Amino acid sequence: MLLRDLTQRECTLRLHGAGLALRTGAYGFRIRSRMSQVAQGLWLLYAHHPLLADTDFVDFDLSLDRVPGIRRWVRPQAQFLFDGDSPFEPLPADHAYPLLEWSMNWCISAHVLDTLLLHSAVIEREGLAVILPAPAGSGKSTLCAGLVLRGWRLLSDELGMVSLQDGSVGALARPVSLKNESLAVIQRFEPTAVFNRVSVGTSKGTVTHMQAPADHVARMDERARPRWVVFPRYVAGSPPLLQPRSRADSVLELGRNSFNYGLLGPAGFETLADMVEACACFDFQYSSLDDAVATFDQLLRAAAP
Amino acid sequence: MMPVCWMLHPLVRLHWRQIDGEWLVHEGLCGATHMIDLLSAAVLTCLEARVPLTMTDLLDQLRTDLSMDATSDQVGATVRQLAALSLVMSVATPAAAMHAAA
Repeated sequence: MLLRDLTQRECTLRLHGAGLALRTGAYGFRIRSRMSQVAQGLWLLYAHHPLLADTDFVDFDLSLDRVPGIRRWVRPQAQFLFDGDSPFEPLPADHAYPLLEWSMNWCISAHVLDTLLLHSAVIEREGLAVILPAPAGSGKSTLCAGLVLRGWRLLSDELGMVSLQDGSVGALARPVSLKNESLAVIQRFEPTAVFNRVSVGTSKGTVTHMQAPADHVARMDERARPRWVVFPRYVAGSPPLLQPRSRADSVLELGRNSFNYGLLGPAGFETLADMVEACACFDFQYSSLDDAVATFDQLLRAAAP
Repeated sequence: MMPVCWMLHPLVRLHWRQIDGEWLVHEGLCGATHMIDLLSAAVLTCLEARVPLTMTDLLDQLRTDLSMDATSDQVGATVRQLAALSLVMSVATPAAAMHAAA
């Protein structure tokens, strides 16, 4: 059963009651919330995700609700609770939906230790994955969204999950986070893309999330083999520049951009080094999504046997 | 005056990878990974045997085992850099080194 099989009212009632349990990639979440924007956002953005039964095991049990007391009326706030604890400061109630997405990211990044977690977007085509690591502001999510809307399959826009056993990368197929100018860029690039309502004035600026395409969600159990590591950087007015970069240095940079590399010890090092040795590594400077799509499609063609 | 010996830090466990001629070394205990040059990799390799070495020993081993003709200034700078990364340490005598290793 998928979330889209529920009416929005049924979705809301589950969130008010025992919780809405859904699966995204290898992870199950049970979410409780009485906030309408959380219900609306989940119902829209996770429409294609499979639901779990009330009795199924979930990895993460969380809730997101208004802060009680005077804050119910004066500058209302939303608070994330994980297993009953509150790891973050509350945010304005208008930011409840992005807070939920960031909290779901935190649930995975702070607790998963059986998989190497890279801070990167990951996309796939013909079984070959591109790892797109980058700091905030580099245009990673915008590039990821653009490529996903032009034939590349979304594995994740935030978490690259590399198996310690076989080096393959897994998928979450969760919504793509877009900020500030990138929202209009993607709306122009693909007018049929589905977006949640916009939250203004968050710590990251104006943010929203784009729904993952239905067929990408349906294929979220398909793993992929890393083939390229591309460090993107948006530079206004720049032509597309794809330049090879040191693979050894890429190991260091990916390690710095990992959530748990330091905790995994030699297993993390061996997994990361194996992955990079199987990849070609590049720095990619771009300003136009159409140019970026052409560049990535050329990478794929060049890899064809 | 007794010569200074160099040795791998007793708690260090190294994991190696060479990619495209560049050396990566991962220290298992603290989880740090470093990209190092060929001379640093060679010096660490010599010290991985866990036998404390004087500068003269190190220069000899680099020359005879690895065919590397490095100067004492070059090797001295390298071991100091490796010491700053807490990968190697200096001890006053071989006996002191054995005590530190124990």
